[in-house]
Amino acid sequence: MTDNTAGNVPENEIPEAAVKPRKGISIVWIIPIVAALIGAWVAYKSISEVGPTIVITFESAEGLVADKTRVKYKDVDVGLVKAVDLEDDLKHVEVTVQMQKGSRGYLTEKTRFWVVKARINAGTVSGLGTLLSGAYIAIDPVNGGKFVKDFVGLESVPVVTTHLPGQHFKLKAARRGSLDVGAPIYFRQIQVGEVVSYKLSEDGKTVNFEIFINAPHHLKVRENTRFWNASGIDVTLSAAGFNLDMESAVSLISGGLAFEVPPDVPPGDVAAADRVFTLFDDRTAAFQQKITVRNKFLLYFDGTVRGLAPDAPVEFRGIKLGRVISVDLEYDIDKQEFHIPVLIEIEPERFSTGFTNLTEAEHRSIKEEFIKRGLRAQLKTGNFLTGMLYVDLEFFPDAEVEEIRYVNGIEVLPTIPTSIQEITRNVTALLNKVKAVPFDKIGADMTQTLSHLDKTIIQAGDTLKSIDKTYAEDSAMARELQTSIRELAEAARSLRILADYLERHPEALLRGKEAQ
Amino acid sequence: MTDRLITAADAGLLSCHSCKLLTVAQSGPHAEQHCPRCGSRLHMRKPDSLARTWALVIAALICYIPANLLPMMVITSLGSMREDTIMSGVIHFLQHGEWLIGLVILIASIVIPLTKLIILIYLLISVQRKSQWRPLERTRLYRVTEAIGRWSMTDIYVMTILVALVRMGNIASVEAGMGAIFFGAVVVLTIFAAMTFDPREIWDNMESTND
Repeated sequence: MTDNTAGNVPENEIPEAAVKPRKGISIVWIIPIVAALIGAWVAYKSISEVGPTIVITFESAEGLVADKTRVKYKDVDVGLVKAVDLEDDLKHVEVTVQMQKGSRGYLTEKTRFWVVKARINAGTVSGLGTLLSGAYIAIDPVNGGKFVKDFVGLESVPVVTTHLPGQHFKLKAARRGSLDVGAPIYFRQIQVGEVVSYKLSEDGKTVNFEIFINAPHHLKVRENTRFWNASGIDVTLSAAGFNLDMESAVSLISGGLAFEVPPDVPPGDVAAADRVFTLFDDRTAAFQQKITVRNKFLLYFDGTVRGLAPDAPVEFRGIKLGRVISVDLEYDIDKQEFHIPVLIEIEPERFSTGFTNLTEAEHRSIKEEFIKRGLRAQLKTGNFLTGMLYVDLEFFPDAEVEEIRYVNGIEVLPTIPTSIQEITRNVTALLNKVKAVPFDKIGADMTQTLSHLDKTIIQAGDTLKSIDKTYAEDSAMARELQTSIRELAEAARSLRILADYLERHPEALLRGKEAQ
Repeated sequence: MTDRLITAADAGLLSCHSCKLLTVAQSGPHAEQHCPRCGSRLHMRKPDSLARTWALVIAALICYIPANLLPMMVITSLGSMREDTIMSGVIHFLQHGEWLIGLVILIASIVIPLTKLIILIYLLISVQRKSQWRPLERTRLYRVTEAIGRWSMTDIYVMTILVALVRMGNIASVEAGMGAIFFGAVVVLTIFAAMTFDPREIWDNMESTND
């Protein structure tokens, strides 16, 4: 291009542009306005969707990843882990969670959080989905309460969540047994609940269980319901045969509970929530009547008590009346004797009638009367395989009369030796008597007697010979005897003829023999 | 200035954008002129160039914020969901040693749009302030902006291909996030902004001072 380019073009040859008026401001400004509006809307939406930020404390952050791990309730995302940090004291992990909008209402003091991971317990496999997707934090929301921002996460999955219909109860047991959290609870062998937690009571004497029974089965828990530990196998040997009872294979491993109202007891009202029940060791114990009165007695045994252990039964004619509390050994310095005092307790309520409404004095007089009539305790072998002994009470009317005495305020019940001990004693006594017999002298006397006997036998032989002569065949006595026998035979024949005739003509007895 | 050039504008001429027919400009700056041959509009310069470019650049700037904050891609693999913004995606690739892919995405998705916006804003300001500083370089910058603009779309293309291909339900699936829409808007808006900007304005300032 050069300076004179414009000058070379004749101006009149270039057509003129048409002119049209232009109106308004540029429409292009709509674009940033629209962009701004959309941007503002997106910003508003994302800001309005942000809920409260909470901090959950866990023991360990296993499986938790910032910006990835979610908080889920019924598999719906309600939050996202934003940060996983160590607490200042390095003991816990603080997990910062961004909750969704609207979660404020259920983030209350009772709301619980726990980490869901794949778990395999004896009876259940849970959280398999997390094997692929990674762990997530589960929430058990509780509505109604003060909004809280700091939570302490549970280390194990809670067995029962707040929204599960059902009821909680409490159990007291002497020991935990094999029961674990989540152990099934059976009612007529159908699982209806689970053990929620267990802990030692404050005085350390019992284990307190908290259990949960799902609706509607919690209505089956009545005032008189008995709970028992259904762990393991219950083997009973009865006259009907061998019976093996087991609630389920699961309870064999992880323990289990069962409950039922004993058949001979009215069920009572539906139990209120959190009612405390006693947990019995087994069904038999659970179904026994409640024993409130226990009378203690002391027994002194002379012989061995090997095989007699505490808790061994005290029976009367095969019916359990009580149990052995303790077995001790005493040495009496004055008499230089050993004693074995056995403390037993007897539960008079086991008698269905008769002993229930008696006064103390009446009880005493009855006991004294029994002892007078020969009530004695005796050790007997309960099990021949193990040699376990039990205490048997029985009346021995011909037993020696014993005075009623008390040791340390406990009545002493007289004993008599064990049957085997008695047999041994009798046999020994017999043997001693046998030993006392003078066999030597008897032997000498016998020899003398035998020589006398020899002579006597010779004399007897002579006597027999003379008898032989008297009764020989051709003797007068034999002859007479033969004649007598012959006459006797004839008499018998005529008698038979008479009998025949009478049989045919019985009337002959009245009318006489008819003329021929 | 010895290299002073007479422009068509100085001569009162304008050329048609479509058929390149040279016409004599009519008087009045705010008049709509039409090409007598093809009928398309005639302008001395791109009409309202600065205002329109500003509008588009501002729109692009607004969109740039959610484009970077909102997730670009939602990857669901084996039950776990992963939301990636542009930057987190880049960091993810770099952390896993995929330097090449990481850098490509970094350049295409973050460096280029940002550069374009900065260049356009600089050009707009410099033109408005009638700057005479290095017009040649500034024109070059403009040409660069126009040339690289479309390459930002790589990210969007990659994503659309992924969304179409990776559809295996819970095992693996990719979905476009809101960020992708805003990012696409940024790219498109900057391309339009570059188009509406008239580089001749840079040179007009040079001449106006020479007069």
